[in-house]
Formats: sequence, C-alpha cells, structure tokens
Amino acid sequence: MKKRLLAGLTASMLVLSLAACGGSSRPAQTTAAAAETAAATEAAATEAAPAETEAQPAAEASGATGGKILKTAASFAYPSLDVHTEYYGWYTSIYGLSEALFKIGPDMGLVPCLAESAETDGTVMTIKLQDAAAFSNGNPLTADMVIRNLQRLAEVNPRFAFLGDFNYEAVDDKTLTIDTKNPYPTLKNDLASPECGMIDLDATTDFDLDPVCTGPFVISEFIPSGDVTVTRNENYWGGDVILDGAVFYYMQEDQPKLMAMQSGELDCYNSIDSASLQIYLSDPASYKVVQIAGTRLQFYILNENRLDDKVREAINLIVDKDAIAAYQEGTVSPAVGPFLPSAAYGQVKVPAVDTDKAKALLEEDGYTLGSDGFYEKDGAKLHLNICYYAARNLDAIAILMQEQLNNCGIETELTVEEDPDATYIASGDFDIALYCMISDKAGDPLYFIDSTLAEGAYYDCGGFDDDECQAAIEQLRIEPDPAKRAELANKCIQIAIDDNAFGYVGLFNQTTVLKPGVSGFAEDIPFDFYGVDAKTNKQ
Amino acid sequence: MKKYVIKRLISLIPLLLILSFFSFLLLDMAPGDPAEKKLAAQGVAVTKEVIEAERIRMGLDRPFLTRYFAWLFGALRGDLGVSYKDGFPVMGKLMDGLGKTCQLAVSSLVLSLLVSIPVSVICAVRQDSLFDNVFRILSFAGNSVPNFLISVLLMFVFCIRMKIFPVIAGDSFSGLFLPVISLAIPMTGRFIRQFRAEIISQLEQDFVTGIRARGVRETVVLFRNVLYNALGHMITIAGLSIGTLMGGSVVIETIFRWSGIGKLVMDSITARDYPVVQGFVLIMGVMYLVIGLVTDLIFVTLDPRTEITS
Repeated sequence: MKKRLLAGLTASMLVLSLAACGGSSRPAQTTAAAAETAAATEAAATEAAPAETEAQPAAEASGATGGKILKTAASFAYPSLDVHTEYYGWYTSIYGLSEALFKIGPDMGLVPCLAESAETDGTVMTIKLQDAAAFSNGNPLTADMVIRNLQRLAEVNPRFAFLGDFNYEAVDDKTLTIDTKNPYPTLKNDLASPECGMIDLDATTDFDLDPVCTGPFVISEFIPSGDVTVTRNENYWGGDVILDGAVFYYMQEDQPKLMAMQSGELDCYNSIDSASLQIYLSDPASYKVVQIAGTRLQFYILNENRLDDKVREAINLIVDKDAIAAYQEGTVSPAVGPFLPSAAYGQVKVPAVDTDKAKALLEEDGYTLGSDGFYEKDGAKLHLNICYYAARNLDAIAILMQEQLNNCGIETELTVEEDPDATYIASGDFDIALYCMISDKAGDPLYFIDSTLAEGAYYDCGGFDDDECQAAIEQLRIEPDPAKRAELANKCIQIAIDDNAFGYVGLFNQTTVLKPGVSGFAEDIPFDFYGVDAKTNKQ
Repeated sequence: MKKYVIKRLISLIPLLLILSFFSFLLLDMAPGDPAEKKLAAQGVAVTKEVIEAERIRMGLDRPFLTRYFAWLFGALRGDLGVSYKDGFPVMGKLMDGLGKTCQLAVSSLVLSLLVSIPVSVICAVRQDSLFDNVFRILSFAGNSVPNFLISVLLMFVFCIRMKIFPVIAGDSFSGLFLPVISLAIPMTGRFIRQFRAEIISQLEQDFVTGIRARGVRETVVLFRNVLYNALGHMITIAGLSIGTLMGGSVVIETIFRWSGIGKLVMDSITARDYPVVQGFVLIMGVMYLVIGLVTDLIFVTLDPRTEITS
C-alpha cells in the first residue's frame, strides 16, 4: 500500500512538472496556396543533403528544402503577420510578403513600387497605381482596395491614426486621390512605410496568420513568434522571382548565429555583433561583409536649464565620436548630424574635437582647475550627471564619455535607468541624457526634427528653444519641394549644433554578412525593414 | 493525512491571493509605460497624444484596484487576460511555453538523477578514493561553470567540430539533446555533492554499524537501509530543483532557440507585457506550492516517523 502511495505521489510530482505539456495553442500555420507552391518547389529541388535537412526544421515542415532556398536569421519574431498592426509590417516586408506604394532607395529617395507615380496639387495627391500590380491570388490591386487598406491602417494602428483624417476618392480602378485638407508634404514618405503594405482585404480570412499580399513571396509556414518560411509567389506582378523560397530562423543570440553561419546552416544575416564581425572580416574568401551607416542614431541631450553655453560647448569639444565609434568596432559610424551624410538633408558641420579650446572655454567661464584635477567655480565642483539606459551600446558610450570628460577636468557620475522615457526624459533631471532612436523612418527629416527640436517636443527635454529654428520647422511642415526641405532641415539641425543643445554620436551600421554568391538581401539600404525581394539571389 | 492535504490545499488560497496582489502591485510600481514600450518598440519616437490614446485603449488609465480585481475575477475563471504586446490570450501563451520548458526541465532532472545517484553512491562508499576525488572536482566544476558557457562550448564541440547536431535545431528531438545536457551538467554537479554528503551521513549512523555487526551483506545495507533512508532527502532536493530548472532555463532556451516559458517571460519583462508576467508569477506560484506539498507527502510516506503538522 505504502509503495503504491509512494509511486503515486512520485508520479504525480512528475505529472505536475509536466503540467500543460502539450501542443501549442497557436500551431504553425501552413497555407493551402503556399503548400501548393512549396510542393512545386520541392518537386523542382534536385538535391537536399540529409545533414542540411536535419538542420532545418522549419524548412522541412513546409517542404521548402533544396532549390534556391535562402536561409537567414532574424533577431526578432512576432506573433502576427497583420501588415497594418503594430510593427508587423516591418517583418512582412523583410519576409518579402508585403509591399507599400513606394519604396525607399539606397540614396534615401522614394522609388515607385505598387504606385507608378504621385503628383501633388495643393492638398490633393493623385496616385496612379501600376497597371500590373496584383495580389498573390491574382486579384488586381485597385484604387478602392488601396483606400480601404489605408483606412484600416488608420483604425488598427495608433501611429497611423492621422490617415483617418484624410479624404479619399477612387478616380478609376488604378487612380486615387488623397485630400489631406492641410498641406502634408511627407505623405508620399509615409506611404512608403512598411505598415502601408497592401492586403487583399476581401480574400484574407486570417490577418494574423495568412494575409494575402502583393510581395514576391507568400507565406509557407508561420510559427507565431518563431521561424518563418516563405516560398515564391508564382503570380508575382513584378516579374520573375529568383529564389524558390526563404527561411527566417528566429535567433536572438549572436554566438549561435555565428556558429550557424560557420557550419553552413545560414546563407546571410544582418545586425552582426562586433566579435562576429571581426571573425567574418578575417575570412573574406568565405564571407562577404557589407557595411553601410544606418538610420538608428546614438545621441545625447545637453540640459540648457542646468549647463551654461560655455560648458555645453566645452562638452561637445571634448566628446570624441571617432574614438567612441572605434571602440564599438565597426558596428557604428561616427555621426556628424542626425542624418546620413549622403542625404541632402544631412549636410551640417560640427567643430572638431579640441580639448585645449574646451579647457580655455571653462576657464573663461570662471572655472579653475582644483588640486584634484577637476574644475570648480566658487568652491563648487563642475560635476555632471550622465543618464543612460543599458541598451544599444549606450552603456559603453556613457563610460567612454565619462572617461573623456574626466580627463579634461570635468567630474561626472553615471546614472543608469531602466526606462529613460519614464524617468530622465520625462523629468528633465539630467545634465547629459543619452538616447537612441531611429532618426529617419521614411526618407524625410521632419519626423526627427519634430520629435527633438520643435516646441513642446517630447525629446526636447533639455530646454532647447530657438525662434529661428521653430520658424524653419513650421516652414518644413508645409514645404513640398525636396531641395527646399533639405535646406530647411539642415538649417534646423545646424542651429541645434551651434547652440550645443545636442551631441550626435553615432549611426548604427547596417551590417550584413553573406556567403559568396548571395546578393540582394537589402544589404545596401540603410533601413531595417527591407529583406528579401524578387532580385535576391543565391548561386 | 487526508485532512492534512485538504488543509494544505486550502492554505494555498490566501497565499496565492497575497502573491497575486503583491506581484500586481510591484509590476504597477515598476518604471516603464507598457503603452510607450509597445508603440516605440522599433525605436521610432511617438507623440504623447498617441501614447495616451494607447494607454486608454489598453485600460491602463483605470485605477489600480479596478485593474487588479478585473484581473483576479478573470483569473478565477481561468482567463489571465491578453498580452499587451500582441493581444493574444495569456493563458495560451503560458501553456505553450510551460509545456516546452517542462520537457526540458524534466528531461534534465531525469538525466541528472540517472547520473548523480550511482556516482554519489560510489563516491560515498569509496570515500577519498581516486574516483571520489575526481568526481568531487568534476561536480565542483560543473556546478560553477555558468550555463551559457556550457551551452556555447557544447554547441561548438557537437555542432561545429563533430557535426553531430545542427546549430539550428529548435524544438525537435535532436534539438532537445544539447539544452538538456547544458541544464543537467550543473544540476548533476550539485546533486552529486548533496547526495554524497547525505549518504555518508547515513553510513556513519549507529544503526548501520549494528546491521553490519549482524553480518548483513554490504549491498543489502547500502540499498535497503542507507539509500532508503537517504531517499527522502534526495527527493526533497530533486523536488525543489524542478522550480529552479523551470525558472532558470531562460539562457539555455534563448541560445538553443527553445520556445519555453523562461524566454517568453524575459521577452515579456523587456516589453513591459505585464499580463504575461503576472500570469507567469501565478502559475509558478501554484507549481512551487503544489510541488512542495507533494514533496512533503513523499517524505512523510517514506518516513512515517515524520510528524504531520498544520
């Protein structure tokens, strides 16, 4: 009896431990249409090494093995493929499933995609769609469908709620007008956002798992918050698609990605850490590395309410961006302004590092060097508080800035916060605040300038206030001409630089590693939301 | 015994209520706005107006107690709410992750026990022998080396050098092998040291000397008396380890792409996805308490001299 009870209890403990073991409540989705494509791909495949098949569970399950299947890693995974919701459109764009009306090119300029052209007359933009543009099920993309997509986006995504304020009209099947009511010069850029990808709203039955889109690939297998497998869209409106398919393995850690690349289980991936980068760079015969400056900016805000002009200027003359970028070993390019220097609106100048001049400025301001090697005035030490959060290398930057400032006689202390937006950005309780954000989300400078320099902007928490800059921002909000917009943007940023309100430290590099023969993985585009497309190739 | 079990189960109710209230309170007090985190997830700045509208949509503008009781009444019906991050039911997400983590934890526990029990018995019987000294050093090392280092080393040896397993294995059987070993190595090291000490202490008891004096065979003494007496202690250690394994496998799950509950909760904490974190706390609380109860009952069954008190 006792033995039975003992056995029962032990078993119950194990069962308890296994509680809830079972199938996923959101199983992997394999679409019927994609299954057909996958089957065709499999039939076309001529070879599939057993070891390779073992290594690719997602590809295996969907039949996306052999042939030209690109295998890559994704650092993030999401539970839904609804193009319009949250940031999921970024990923459907990376997977080659969805497309927007326009795309952003390597030079930050807008190029046609689903739309052939867009012309603005006052507040009305007339958009002509590509004649051939169609969904993967063969249904043509119509003006009415575009309008309904934009209206749905406004409803389900708070960041695009403004689209709900506009008037839309379908002129004919392939032409539509958007009346923004007030001048809105960045509409075309907004329409290039991946969230503006088009879905066949009538044919889609499950927006989360199986949206019908226009991209060169269709979903083959989707594991929510896991691996994603896509296969070629046989009905792609834009012509031939080179790859048979692609697999996106969800891999967060850098070491497994490196080892998977070394073992041949991956063909390419981006967002490479500095340690792996050095390994790839040391073996150019096996790996091709493409590095371009991206749009994710590391910067700091100088608190004008606490630091006078000369102290702020001295700080900016001391902080050595080149040294900080060098420390980050190729993952970051030193920034001049917040935008890429290759963009027309990235043409600003900053003074070179000059520690002697910085010290002279402090002495002019009444500071004297104390016996401990730090500046002081009226018995009070020049003591600065650098606030940062431990992400995007800001912790390393904070330490390097502390060292550089300390070496020049400015005593600093570091304050780390878990959530900058709820703490030092909200309260303004800092001398120097480090932050990282995307400075250019769709090939236009207004978003960043509006977020950091405009009156009442959330990230203008250091007290920057300049009438001339504000007037230029107001003009930027309505100016449609790109050349004039660039001029205005350069003026705004230069004012902020001259006022020593900010320090733009570095732009994260978009670094991609590819096996020889792999190309077209958006390695030359400085945005995070592009990946495979019709021209992506694996030889 | 029956009365005791019922009493213990009833006592879980106030404990779980207190646990849920304080975890809800602590999460509410933690810095960070879930709405802001959600909208700015990709580093794109959003306006205060958009954040405020999202806060209202997510119900974060309601008073603390209103939110807590709404959550509590839902939890009583088995509904732990929906994830802030993606809007999917928390219960489903947690159950998916829990199942995967259980596979990992139980497999590691079984492997650890299979290795550590015979090794610790031999070490205890042949105290201070070469075998004992070697395994004491190995167990010390296994217990000291961090999980992530073991994982990366195993991956390097088995996937890159020997090419036995793929790096990208995921939730398959071959994908289970390396994470189980990674989790089992430190656990085995700990078990060997603890079991060895317990067996040695049993071997030094007077009753063992008495049995040996009566001429009983050494194997009988060892298996029928010493090990039987040590079993209660060993089961307690193993029972408590399940909780550690469940909560401590996050690094392993991330490195080996194992979609378990540890990884889910870490991602949820980063994203301020409080309904998922709150649901995790509740489920883990229940599991800890019930495993504790079952362990106690096994202990009592093995050694009836142990008094049951409320």
